Order: sequence, then structure tokens, then C-alpha cells
Amino acid sequence: MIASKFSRRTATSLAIALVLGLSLSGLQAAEVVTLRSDAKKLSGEVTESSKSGILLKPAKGEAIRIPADDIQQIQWVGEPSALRTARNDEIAGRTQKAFDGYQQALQELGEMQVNPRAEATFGAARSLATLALSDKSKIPAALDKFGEFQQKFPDSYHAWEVLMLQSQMLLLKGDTAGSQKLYQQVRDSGLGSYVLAGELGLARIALSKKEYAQALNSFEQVTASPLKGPLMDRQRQEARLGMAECLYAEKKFADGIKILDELIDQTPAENEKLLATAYLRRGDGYVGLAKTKEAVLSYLHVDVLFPDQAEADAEALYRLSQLWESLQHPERGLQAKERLVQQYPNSSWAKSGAK
Amino acid sequence: MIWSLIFWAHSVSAADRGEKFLQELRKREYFDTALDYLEGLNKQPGLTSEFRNRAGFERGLILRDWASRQVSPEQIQASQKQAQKEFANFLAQQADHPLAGQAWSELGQLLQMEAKSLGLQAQRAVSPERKQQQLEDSRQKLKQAREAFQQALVRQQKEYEAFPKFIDKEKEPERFEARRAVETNVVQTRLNLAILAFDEALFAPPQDRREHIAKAYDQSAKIYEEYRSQLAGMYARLYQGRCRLELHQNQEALGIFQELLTLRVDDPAILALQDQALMYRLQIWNADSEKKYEQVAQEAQSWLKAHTDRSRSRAGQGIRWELAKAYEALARKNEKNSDLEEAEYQRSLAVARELSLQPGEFQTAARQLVNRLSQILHRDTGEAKDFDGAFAQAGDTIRLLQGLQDSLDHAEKEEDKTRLRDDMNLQLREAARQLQFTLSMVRPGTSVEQVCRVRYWLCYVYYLTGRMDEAAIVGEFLARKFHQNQALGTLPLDAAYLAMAAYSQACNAPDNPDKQVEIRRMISLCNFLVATWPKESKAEEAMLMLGRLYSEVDDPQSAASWFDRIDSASPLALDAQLGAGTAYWNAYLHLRQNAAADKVDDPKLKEYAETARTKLQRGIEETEKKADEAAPPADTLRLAKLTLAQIENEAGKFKAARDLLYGSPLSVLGTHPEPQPEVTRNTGLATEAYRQWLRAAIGLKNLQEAQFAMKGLEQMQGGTADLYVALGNQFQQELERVRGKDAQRETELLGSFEAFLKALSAHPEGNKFGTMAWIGETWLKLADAIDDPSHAKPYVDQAADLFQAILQRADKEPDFVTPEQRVAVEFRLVSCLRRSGEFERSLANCQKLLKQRPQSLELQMEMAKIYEGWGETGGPNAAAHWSAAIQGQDSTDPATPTIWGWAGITTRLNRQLEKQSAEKLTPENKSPDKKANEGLVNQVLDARYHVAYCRLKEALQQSTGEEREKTLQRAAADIQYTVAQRELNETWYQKFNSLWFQILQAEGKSPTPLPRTGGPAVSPETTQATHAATPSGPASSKNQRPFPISFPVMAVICVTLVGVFLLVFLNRPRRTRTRYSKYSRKQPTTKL
Repeated sequence: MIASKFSRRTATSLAIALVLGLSLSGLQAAEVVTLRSDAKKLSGEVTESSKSGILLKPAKGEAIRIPADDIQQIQWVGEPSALRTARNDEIAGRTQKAFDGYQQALQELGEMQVNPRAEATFGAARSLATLALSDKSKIPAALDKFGEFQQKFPDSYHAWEVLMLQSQMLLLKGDTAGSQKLYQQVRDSGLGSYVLAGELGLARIALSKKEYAQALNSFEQVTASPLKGPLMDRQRQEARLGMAECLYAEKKFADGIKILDELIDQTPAENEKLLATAYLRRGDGYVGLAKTKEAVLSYLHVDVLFPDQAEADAEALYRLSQLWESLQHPERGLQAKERLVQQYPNSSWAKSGAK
Repeated sequence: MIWSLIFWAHSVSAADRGEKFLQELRKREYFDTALDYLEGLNKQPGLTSEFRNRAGFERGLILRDWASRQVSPEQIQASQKQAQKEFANFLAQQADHPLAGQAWSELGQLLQMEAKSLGLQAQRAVSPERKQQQLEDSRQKLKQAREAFQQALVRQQKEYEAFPKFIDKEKEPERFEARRAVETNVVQTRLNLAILAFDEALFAPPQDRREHIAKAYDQSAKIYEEYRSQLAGMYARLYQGRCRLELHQNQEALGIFQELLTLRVDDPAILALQDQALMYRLQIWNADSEKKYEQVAQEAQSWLKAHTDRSRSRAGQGIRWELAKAYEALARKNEKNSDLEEAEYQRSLAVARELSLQPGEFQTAARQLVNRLSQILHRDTGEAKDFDGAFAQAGDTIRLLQGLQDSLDHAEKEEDKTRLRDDMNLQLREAARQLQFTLSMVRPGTSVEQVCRVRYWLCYVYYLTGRMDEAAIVGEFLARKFHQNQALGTLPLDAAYLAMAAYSQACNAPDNPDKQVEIRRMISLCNFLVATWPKESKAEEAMLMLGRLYSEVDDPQSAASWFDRIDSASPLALDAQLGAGTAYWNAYLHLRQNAAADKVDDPKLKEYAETARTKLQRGIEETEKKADEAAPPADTLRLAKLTLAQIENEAGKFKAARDLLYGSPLSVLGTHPEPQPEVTRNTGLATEAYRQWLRAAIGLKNLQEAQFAMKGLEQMQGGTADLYVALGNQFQQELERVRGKDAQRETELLGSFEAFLKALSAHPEGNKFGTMAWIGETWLKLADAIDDPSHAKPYVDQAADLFQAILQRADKEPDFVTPEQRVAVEFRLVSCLRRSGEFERSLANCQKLLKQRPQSLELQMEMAKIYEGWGETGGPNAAAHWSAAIQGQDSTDPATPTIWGWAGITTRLNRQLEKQSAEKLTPENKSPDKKANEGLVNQVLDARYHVAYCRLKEALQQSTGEEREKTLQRAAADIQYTVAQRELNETWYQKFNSLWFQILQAEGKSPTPLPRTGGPAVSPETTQATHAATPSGPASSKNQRPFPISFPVMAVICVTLVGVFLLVFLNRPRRTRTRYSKYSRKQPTTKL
């Protein structure tokens, strides 16, 4: 009875899983694709895959073409539970554990399981890149892993994302020319949000090189892009944050604040991360204008409204701990400092705050 | 910032740059940079070997300070350990260094702290072996600390003995101070040893404890006996109490703590000591032998309410811990009444829960108490596992708060209200924590409406707990981001309104340094509210609020445009008219003040006053049409009439003002001259009404009504000198306003004031001492308002006659004045005689007073002024008079007081200023008295000005060219020194610059402006204080306080006249704005 409900493909998968000694938790009937734009999950069979995207054939209805930039992740049929656990660890910020998990998954996967292998290799490379953000010695390993990925899976839908991560690593390493080259490739991909992501990357590089006019121009191009869709909207918002930073760099704090005020006004309440960042940068602008009280109120928005945005909250608490005293409220500064150390003991802000 | 410091470090001389740079880094708390700097010290060129030698000592200090700024116990301990090492190394290498004593003392304190930390760990240790080991380690550290303190004491005592026994403070102030500093170190180390003995007792084996405590008690007693009025002595006393407590001699301990708690001081260090005394007292009351739980609860609650800023200190936490324990005990005591029992447990839980979240000595115990109480109350000890669970718990807490609020609204007895308010405060803190926790449980898919509801509750809880910034942020966020969410109903509107109220409260907070920020936010939010909900009644309230805000920022047109948008049929229509009138009136007052400062007439002045009058009159007329004459007028109408009366008085239309205030059922004060309850319940309004009535009555020369008004004022305010000084000031200001602009009005005003004063003198009331003193003072005020001394003289003479009459009567009737009052009157007579040009009499009288009070700054200043005034008259002795005004006169005869002269006054004031600045730098002094400092700065500058001015005048009297040149050079040098030492505000700069020009002219040089350089800035407020000073001569006496002999003495004088008045009048600013919002500010009407 029960077996009859399974499709032939599922039964085959189960058999393979049992043969390979995989746990039942890794068992699934079809590929599950999570979309980046609205976090929706679609299931079906991935019948085509290339650098530009995939073709997903659902159990019922027409096949759907999903562009690469809208794919958050794919859970492949037959992937080991170690891969799934590694993904969860990565999302939860347990990056080293995630990397180990991806490596373990690679060991468990057979050479023929190309797609799960690509997924695990990409995950391991991305984890290394995250680790490299706080430990530069890991940059070469991350770059090697990305190289390995490109060599083994040249047509993966992750290809553009890999280029972007490689580009970030090169920038971190100080190789701006190399980074710039890769971002240009991403920008020229012709794929919706990757076009804008590439332009954003180029803008960030220009900003890091203090080429403010160039950076501002790139950010403005992103905001002016006619491309539509939630992903592109997010990138436009990010570009506005970047525009404010460019203006700050040229001491045009009031202009930067104006952009951020508009951004805050137009951003929906549920986009907490963006709002928190915008309030932080707005606070920076007021610090630049020596308007301490406005700065404090701006940072306080983050702590009061978005305490779940850990990184932003830690930064806000740090800034508040520094500024309250000058508003004749040393006790509030001390409370902010206490909370920073208690709630985010490992954050770089807590370490700065303890000095 | 670091780079600017490094740049600066390279720009100062090499010899002292290391030390200064390091001090600057420590001051800015850049401890890591300071350590790095010291690390690379060997590479720094140009440093003295002395400084290199003590680098280790400096490292120790930096680490010690760093430890005090850290939060995590591990980091604190690590820094302290490292600091110990640095001091120990320094002492090993530089045993005879002059700083060795201090290094030993620092080392001792660090060892003592480590010992205490080990001892406390031992108390918490589970394994007996570990406990024993830690106790042993603690004792060892205490032993090492004792050795360190003893080493420090030997060195400090030697250092102290090296000073001579007598040092003349006046002649050798620096040496005197140096010896005092060493003496302070000696006392501090002795106190440290006594405290150490106490700590030794705490961690000693039981059989040795009593002996250690006795030792600690004796040592503390000796320090207390010697230094009972100093901080060290008081701390010693506290430890005597603690020793008694350890010996279970509770009554004796309580006596000592009580003694400390009755000290009346403002010193933050002593307040901290008192907090500790209170903590120990509560500990005793909570003990089984005492069981005074109600007293603990009452006292701890009162303390917490009054000192929220200190509630997180160690003593503050201790007091809260005792409060939690007392509530728990009270719950057990009420076990037969389950409602009461539960209420007390809940109180205890709320206090303990908050304490359990704060790191410190009481955190663990508080956590245990939370667990225990949660079980008793059948509460889940853990937090909810998801948003829904947390939302439900938060809802329970909110309902509990609603219940408390409801009970509070209906409570009649004051004691019930107090108890309920205390309960509310406890539960509000817990509610805030719970709501924040609930928000942390929000996950994708959580109901947006529920999240908004929680945020709204949190907004209200923030509002009720006084966290206005947070309340405004949450309220505004809800309003702006969710105003289109239909499912939320009126929540976004309510949130907007609540945010407005929170901004308003934050704006009016006394410690708000910049109200404009809130005003801008409110204007923005108000515009949003009106645009989003134009038809809601709250929108009209917002328009009203917006109008008032524009009024606050002196934009009457914008204010009026908002007020005018309120429908004439609205219940808020009169408020709107009144608001518009008040806006124009405030703007008028502001413009008038500026016009007075700039000495120009602004054409808008008349327009604003007229518009204010028209709007108020229209509002009043419309309201009166609907008003019931049988019922007393509403406060809004009263306020409108009062403002209009102010306008009429200003315009000299005294009859119109009087009719608005008194004589008809709908007038402000009604038809009864005596204060009626329906009027006096609004003290601010009633007081101002009586003041305006008095002004109108004086203008109408109606002595009877003036007396009624004065009686009304006395009854309302209970004020003394302040009230009458304020009235005198008002007369003076009115005269100054019309002076030189309207001769007829000036004559009329003078005439009416004179007539009033004479009539009052002739009245039986005028025979009383207080009345006589006030009339004399007011004559002087009128004299001050007149520029021409010859025209002012009759008024000064009137005052002198009155003061003379008081003294003559006092000779006949000894009880007529107290000795202090007599001195005050004699002093005023001295001033009058000087101003009348009777210098000889004035001098003789002043000398007589100076004999009794040779150190009185006011008398010394008066003496210098006498000589200066005498010098101005010229004659053969002029040179001697100028010299005496500058240098004073020394005296070796104890019967003849030394006269300081302006130079001596300057030196003493400077010293006082330096002392105040030094005190400001101490860590204990968190809130230096800024105003006092500014006052002192102004006094210093004034005295310096007199020195230079008198030198110029002296020079002009001198016959030989060389002598004259030298004196002029000294005068110029005096000014240059003043400008170099201190940055002057514009008024002072102009004053000194004018004198500078005169000196250059006398020297025959071409005039060049005085260079602007200077030290610490003089704040803008000082500008006001010196505003009236004339640029061409020394500050005239009219800029001094009316009774410079001291305010308390003046206050004593007038107590006999009017009883006790409120201080409101004294503090009344010159800009007498009608604070509409002050009378009618509303609490938000939105409920939870």
C-alpha cells in the first residue's frame, strides 16, 4: 500500500540510499529549490542546469525556468544528511562546523553524485570564505576551493556566485585589480540581479580606493537600473546605503542623511536588517555633523527596534556606550557597555568596547 | 583622534611631552594606546630619565584604571594582576623612588581586592578542600597587602615629617597644599589598614575573628576621632558600624549607621557612603532578631524612587536585595491572607528578577530567589519557548498593570496611592523585560498585528518608566510603518500620539541639553499625524500641540496657522485662540529681549503685541458668551485673561489689566480679594495673577488693592526676600525698558513707584522691619535704573534714610532686629553712603564691619569700591586712594583689619577658582556646579578689570612721566594677562578692549584692538550676567546682587515680613514668557 504511493524514482532512491548506508533523514522524493526572492520552496525534478539557471519539472504542470540569481539553494535527491546539517550549521553561524560537515558530506558522496558534490564543494568554499573574513590566513584555502569548484563544475548555477565570492576574497587580500576584473565579469553576465551585484562590487572597490565620484556613479547606476524584482529592489537599497557612505567620505553628511532618511521611510518594517544598517549609518552621519543627540537617537533605534539584528545591535550598543556620556548620561553609557559585553561577548564591538 | 594626539605630542616640548601625552591618553581612556606608547618609550627621543624610570609605575596606573572601566570579571582580574606585577617590578627596581610610597599603596589595594575576590569565591565553593585552599590564598594575599600598606605608611609618614610643623597658608600656599596632600595619603593608608583588618576578620578562622574585628574597630575608631569631619573619618565610622554588625551588636551598629545617614551633604563620595550605611541598616532590620520588614520595604522603596541613578551601584544592588528579602518575608507573614501573600511574593519576584539580570555580588542569590518564588507562585521558571507563549505571559503582565492602574485611579488614601505606585514601578520594570523577550521570539510568520501590539505595550511601559527616548522611537515606528494596516485599528494613531507625548516629556526633561532635537522630531511627527488622520480628534490635539511647538521656537505665524485650523466649534477652540495669542506674546517678549540687547526697536514688536491682544480678546469674548457667570471660570479662560492682563500692564493700561484680574465673577481672581480655593489650586497661575494685580494697583495708585495683592502673594508663595527682590527687579526692568525712549512714561512709572513706596512707608505695615528693609532695597533698585548719578542720588538718600531709621530704632528696641539683620542693614548703609559720595563715613562704617568679618569677600569688595569712588573725586589724596583701591592696606595690628584691595581680591578669587577646577577633576565630583563656577569666573574678571581700571586712573594722577609710563604698562600687562589666561566672551572682551584703548591713548600710542587669545572658554551664559556692564568704566554696583552681604541674611530679614514664599520668583528668568504648556500640559489619554 505504502510503496504504491511512492513513485518509481523514489523507490529507486530509497534503494540506493539503503545500499549506500545513508540515513533515512536524507531521504526525499524530489529536488527542493528555495528561491532567493521570496524564500518560496519549489519541488520537482531538475532536468536542466547551466550557469544561467535551471529547469525544474514539478510533479504536475509546466516546467519552470529559474534564473541562477534567484536560486538560494537546492536540496538534491540522494544528498547525505551531513550536507543538510552542514547547511543548517552555516545558516546558524557555526561556520567551522559547517565546513567540516561539507567535507564529511564530500567523503560520503559517490563520484557519480555530481550535483550534491557540487553543492557540498560550494558550501565548503563559501564557509572558508566566511572564515577568511575574520582570519585572513584562510584566504588562499578559500580561493583554492573556489578554483577546484570552477574546474570540476564549470557549468553550475553557482558559477556567478563563485565569481563574486572569489572577487571578495581578492579584495580582502588586497588584489583590487583582480577583484575588479571578476566583478566586471559578473556585471556582464546579463543575469538580472548579478548585473547589479557586479556593479555594486565595482562601486565598493572604488569606495575602498577612495574614488568617491566613481563609486557614487556606480551606486547611482544601480539605483537607476530599470530591472524589476525583489532582488533588484534590495540591491537598489544597498546602493543607496553606499551612496550615503560616498557622501560621508566627502564630508557631505547632511546629503547622506537625506538619502538614508528616504531609504528608512520607504523600507518596509519587516526588512529589519536593512533598516538597522540604515539607522547605524544615519547615526554615523550625525556623528560627522557633531550632532550627538541625533546620533544617539539614531543608534538607539537599532537597539530598541531591531535587537535581533545581532551584528547591528552590537555596533549600536558600542556607539551608544561611547556617546551617552557626552549627553550627560554616563549611566546609560555604562548600561549599553554592560549589555554589549554580556550579549555579544565574542563580537568585535565588545572587544573594542572593553578597551 | 589618536593621530591628532600623536601630532600634538610632537608639537610640545620634549621634556614634558611624554607625561602630558600619557595623561591625555589616560584621561580619554585610551588605555591600550597608552600602554603601547609606554612600550615604545625607549625609542622616543627627548624624554627625561626621570620619566623613563617611572614608566613601570605609569603602566601600573594605566592597568589599574583600565580594570576599573572593564565589565567582565575575568578582564578586570587580568588587568589587576598585571597592574600588581608592574608596581612590584617598579618597587624592585626603584625602591627609593619618590613615588615608592604611592606604588606600595597601589599594590596594597590591588592585593586587597584580589584577596577579597578569593575570599568570596571560597564562600561559594562547594568542595570543602577547595574552600579551605581559597581561604588560605585569600589570607596570604591579605598578609601581603598589609605589608605593602605598612611600607607605604612608613614612606608617607617620613615624607610628612619632612615638612615644618607650621606653614603659613597665605604666604606659602603651594607648600601648604603639598603638605596637605601628603597628610591625606597618610590618613588614606591608615584607613586602608583598618579596612584590611576588617577583611582579615571576614576570612579568618572562626577562633581568630573576634580578635581581628576588635583590631579593625580600634584602628577605625582612632581615625574617626582624628578626622571625624573628613571623608576618611566617616568611612572609618562606617567600618566601626560594620565591626559592630559582625559582632552582632545590632543596636550599636544601627546607632552608627543612623548617625552617618543624618549627615546633610551633597558630596557624591559621602552620598555613596550613606548608601552603604543604609544597606547595612536594612540588613539589620531584615534580620530575624529585628523583623522590621515593613520599614525595610518603605525605606528601600523611597531610596529607589529618589536615587534611580545610583540603583546599580554595589550599595544600590544591596538595598534592592534587602527589599526583595523583605517582600518575601512579608509574604510569609501574610500567609493567612492569600491575596496579600501573593502580592508580596510578586513584589519580591519583580525586584529579584531585575537584580538577577545584573552582574554583581547579589546576582546568584537573586537568581535563587527567582527560582524559589517562581515555584511558589506556580510560574514557569523558564521563559516561554515561542512567541505565542511569551505573548500570553506578556498579556498577563499587562493585565496585572491595568489592574494596578485601575486601583490607583480609584485609590483615595494617600498611603494606598503610594503603595500602588510602588507596585506599578516594580511591575513596569518586569513588564519591559518580558515584552522585550517576547519581541525576541518573533520568527518569520509571526502575526504582524500581535508584534505591533507587543511593541505598543512596550512603548507605553517605556513611557511610564520615564524612558522617553525609547517610547518615542517605538511609537513613531509603529505610526509611520503600520498606519495603513487596517487590522490594527487605531493602534498606529494611538502610538503616534504616545510618541508625541514622549517627545514632549523628553523635551521638557531638566537635563535635556538640546531641546531643538525633540522639537524638530515632534514637528515632523505632528505633520505626519495631521496628514494621515486629518479627521480624528487626536489630529486636532496634534494641531494644538504643533502650534505650541512652533510657538516654543518663536515662529508665531506658523503657530497661529496651526491654531487657526482648529474648528471654532471644537472644544479646543479657546485653547487654540489662547495658543495663538500666547505665541505672539512669547514672540513679542523674545523680540523685546533681543531689541533691548541690541538697543534697537524691532518694528514687529508692536505688531506682535497687538496681534496677541486681538487674538486673546476674541477668544475671551467668544468663551464668555457661552460661560455661566454663576460658575467659576475654567483655567483656560483664566489663563487667557491673565496673559491679556500682562499685555495691558506692559502697555500701561492698568485699569484694563485690573478688570481682567479682579472684580467680576469671570475675572481671574473673582470678586473676593482674599485667595479663593478655586483660584489657589493652580498655584502658578494664581501667583502670577496676584503679581499682575499688584502691578496694576501700583499703576492705579490704589494702595488698598496693592495690599490685597501683596497679601495674596504672601499666601500663595510664602516667599520672603525673593518675592520683594523680584518686585524691585521688575520695577527696575520696567524703568530700563522705557529709559531714553519715552520720557513721559518714565516719569509716570517713577512717579507711581515712588508714590507706592511712600504710601507703604506711611502705612502701619511700613513700620515693620521687613517692610522697611524692602522699601529701602527698592529705592536702591530705582536708583540703579537711572543713569545719571545726580538724578539717582535722591533715591539712594531715601534708602540711606530708611536703613538709618532701622538702625536707630534697633538701638532703642533691641528686639527689633537680630544681630545678623543688623549687620546686613549696616552693610547696605555703607553702600548707600558710598554712592552718595560720603566716603569718609562709608569707610569708617565699613572698617567697623570688617573688624568683625575680616575675611568677608563682599566687605573687602565694598572697601575697594569706596577707595575707588573716592579716587574718582580727585583731590590731593587721590593717588593714595587709587593705590589703596588696588593694593589695599596691610595691617599688623589685630584691631585694624587688613584691606585686600582689588589685587588681593583677584588673587583670592583666582585661588578659589583653581580649587573649584581641581575639585571638578576628581572622579567623585560627577556634577560640578557649573553656575557657581561661571559666577566665580565673572567675579575674577570683574576684579581684574577693576585692577586695570584703577591703575589707569592712578597713572593719570601721577606727575612724573616715568612713573606714569610704568603704571600704564602694568595696566596694559594686566589686561594682556587676563586675555591670555582666559577666553573672554564678547561682552567682557568689549569691556576690556575699551579700557585697552584708553590705556593706549594715555600712552600716546595709536589704538590697536586687544588681541584675542585665551584659555578655557567662558560660557555664553556669562554674557547675560555681564550684559548691563558699561564698556567705559568698572561694573557699577547695580550689576551686583542687591544684597551682596549674602542671600541668607537678606532672607532672614524678610522672614519677619512675609513668612515663607516659594523660590519661584527668585528663579524667574528675565524673559517672562507665559508658559502656557506649563499650566495645561496634558498626559496622554491613551490607555494600555
